[in-house]
Amino acid sequence: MHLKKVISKAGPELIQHGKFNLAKLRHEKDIRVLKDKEVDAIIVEHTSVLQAVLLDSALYLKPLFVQGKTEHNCDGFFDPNQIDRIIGKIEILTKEIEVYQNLALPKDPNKRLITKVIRYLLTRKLNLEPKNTRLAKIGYSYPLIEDFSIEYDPIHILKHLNNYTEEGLFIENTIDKVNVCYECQSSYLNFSECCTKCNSLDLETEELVHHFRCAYVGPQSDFTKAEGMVCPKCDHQLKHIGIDYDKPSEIHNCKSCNHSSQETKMKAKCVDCCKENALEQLTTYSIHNYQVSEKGKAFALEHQEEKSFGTSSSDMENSFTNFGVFNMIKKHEARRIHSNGLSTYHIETGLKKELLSSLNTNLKQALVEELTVIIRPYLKENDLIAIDAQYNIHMLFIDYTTDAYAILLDTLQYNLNKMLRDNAWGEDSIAIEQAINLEE
Amino acid sequence: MSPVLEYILPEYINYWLSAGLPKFVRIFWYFVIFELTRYISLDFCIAAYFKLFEKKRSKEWMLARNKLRAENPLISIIIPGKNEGAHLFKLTKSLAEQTYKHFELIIVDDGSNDDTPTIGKNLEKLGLIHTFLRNEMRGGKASAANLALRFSKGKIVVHLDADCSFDCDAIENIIIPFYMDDKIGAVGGNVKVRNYKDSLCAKLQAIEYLKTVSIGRIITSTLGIYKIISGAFGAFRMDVLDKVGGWDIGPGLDGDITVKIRKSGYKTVFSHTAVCLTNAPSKFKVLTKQRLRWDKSIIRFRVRKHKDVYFPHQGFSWSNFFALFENVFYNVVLDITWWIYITDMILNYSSALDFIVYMNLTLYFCVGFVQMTSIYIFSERRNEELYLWRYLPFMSIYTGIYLRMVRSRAYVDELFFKKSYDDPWNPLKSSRQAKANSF
Repeated sequence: MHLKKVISKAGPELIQHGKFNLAKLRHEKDIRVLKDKEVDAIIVEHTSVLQAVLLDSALYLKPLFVQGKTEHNCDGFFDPNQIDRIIGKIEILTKEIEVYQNLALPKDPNKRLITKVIRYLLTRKLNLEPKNTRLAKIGYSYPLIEDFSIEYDPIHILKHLNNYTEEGLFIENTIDKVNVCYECQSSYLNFSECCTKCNSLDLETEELVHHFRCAYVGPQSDFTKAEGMVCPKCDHQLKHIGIDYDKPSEIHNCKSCNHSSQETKMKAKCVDCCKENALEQLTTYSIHNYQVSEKGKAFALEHQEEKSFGTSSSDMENSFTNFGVFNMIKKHEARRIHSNGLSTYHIETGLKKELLSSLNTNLKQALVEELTVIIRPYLKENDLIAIDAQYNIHMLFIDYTTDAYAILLDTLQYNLNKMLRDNAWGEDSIAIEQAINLEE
Repeated sequence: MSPVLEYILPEYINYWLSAGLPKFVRIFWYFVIFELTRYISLDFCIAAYFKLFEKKRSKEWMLARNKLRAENPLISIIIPGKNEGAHLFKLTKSLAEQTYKHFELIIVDDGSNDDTPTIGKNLEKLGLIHTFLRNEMRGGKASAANLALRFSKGKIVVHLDADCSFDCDAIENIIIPFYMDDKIGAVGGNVKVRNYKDSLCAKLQAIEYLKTVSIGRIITSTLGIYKIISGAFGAFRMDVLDKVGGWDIGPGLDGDITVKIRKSGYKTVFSHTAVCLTNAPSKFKVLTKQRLRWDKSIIRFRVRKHKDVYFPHQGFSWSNFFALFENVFYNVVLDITWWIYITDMILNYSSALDFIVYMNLTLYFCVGFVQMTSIYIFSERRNEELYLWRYLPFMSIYTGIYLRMVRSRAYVDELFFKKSYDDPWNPLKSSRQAKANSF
């Protein structure tokens, strides 16, 4: 099969293989470039890029392959010398994702996440399986959901999965139950028996011995002598269990308060936050694997109505960086060492709540788009723009001098306010909520 | 006029009037020698003694009570038992009413197969029981009591039965005697029948308890020969229990430990104001089983195990001798003597047997009333107990015939077959060892 490398310089590498176009991504930023291209499958070199692809609402269903080994969700491993091996899979998946290709995603972040997950599961004919891992706070994670989320909160996810199961989107099958700390929700608990009276852990547990001959009963230590077991009451040697003696039960002696009891109190100390939980304080969560139900399948096909407002939602999404990807890049930028006095700045603008509450969804989106028309001319090629669920506009200005950034900030503020004022939205309807140098 | 009043009664009276005193004594020698002295003369002598020294005793009692209250020692109340869960909550309520509050409550569940473990553990969690211990394998009452003893921290140990309830000053009144005399090692409580209205069987036992427990023990205690501290309600000094090694395998372990304590040189006394109410068997079948067990233990412990008290030895004590002798004499010897008496009557007075039987019943009937008067003198519940007086006529048959027959059967079983070792009251593993070692 003829393999043709179309682009080889910086940015995604496009590989044409028969009728399929494959894109090989090296960096998260390659995703933006890719949005204008028609690709049938994506190959990533790093897992960080893999997650960025899954977060992207236009690409998340595309057949996804990883060069090298990974524990993340993907459709297989890519070997440049054996590309034929993944073509069959790409062909099947292309057919599977076709039905969802033109469907939008809900705006609500939780609903959006679950829609993506359900569509992914359906196209891959998978169930949502938990993974037992020490790295997860509750001892289990759902790797697929983790890859689809920016900030993965296992308890939050479990609650949502339960809600969606109650709504009938999933059929659940319980595989385990976990007890988590009341304070920090960690399942890394150290269970220990303590004294029922003083809560001390300094307990000594001994078996009780009943000497049949004289009816003396006491802890084994009462009988322990150098010559073996000797009854403290009648001085007879105990030789044969069942004939001379038996051990009817055991007793716990507290070395702190000297209390003896056959009952102990269990407590669970959280290794993460050191909180001592009584057993009844622990929160129990059931861990299930989830199969998408018929209702779930229908749910995956919903949201077509949210597709259009002003411009199409996919157009809208395509014109912005996915907010999740934006955050990820922001984190990377914060860690990146800048030189020559250059810095990366994050600016967040927010419309007044009163203004937003007076608009319907379509108008909100139209207004945001209008504002971005003002912003876009000031963005350089590497700068990013994204909107969050509250219609705040986020901008990432990469490698700016302090002076250039100050001028830019003033200009943006002036122009945005002018646009709102001129269009009768009212002055000061927009504010710069955050303007931060990531290096600080 | 009925034939009884017209012919039989006059003939019956004429027979005894013409018989004269010597013949009367000859025929009723058993009654005159044993019953009259033991149950009538002694009762009233002791009652008179009580009245005479009442003020002095009351003063000593108050002094001891003040000492107790000043010291306020920890008391360990131990309750060993099997399948007693249903009684535990009521028992804790009864104990919560006590005037003496400084006690720990230790309950030992001896391998119950009902809800006792659940109930006990819950009561422990609720703080109504201080320590609940369970033997998964039944070891017998003695082992359960010893287990409780092992974990008791009190200066005095009070042993109770779970189905008992107590007067609110019962615990205080059972421990006060320890502060009257340093030589007192154990004190017995006054056990009375709670369910006396249940059946005739329970009513007769209620009268019997008043006679033998309440009055009988006041007498033996006053004479210094008190030899059985009831398992239902008894108090022991912890150091004394340690010295004697706690309880040995039963049945009859309460009598056994009393003798052990006496043999160790301590006094045992009865506190008739420490009142405990218990449920007596309400059916004769159950009662028979209980009494066979109790009576066998007299032979096993009083005759066999502690036979040394009858013979001179280094630690010989006349009071111990009389304590056990009185017990064995009035139970075993008189039981045998009663059969001799019956044989004597059959052989020598066969023609007048009907008159003799009726006169015997009349005598025991009259004695019963006289004895109830002594009970009336001592009792703190005399008005309630008046209810029982109407059942006194049945006592002649109950004590005179029924209990004697049961006792005789028990003595034969134990003397010749050592049947107490086969009693399922104890687990086989313990009985086997006890038999092998002749305990």
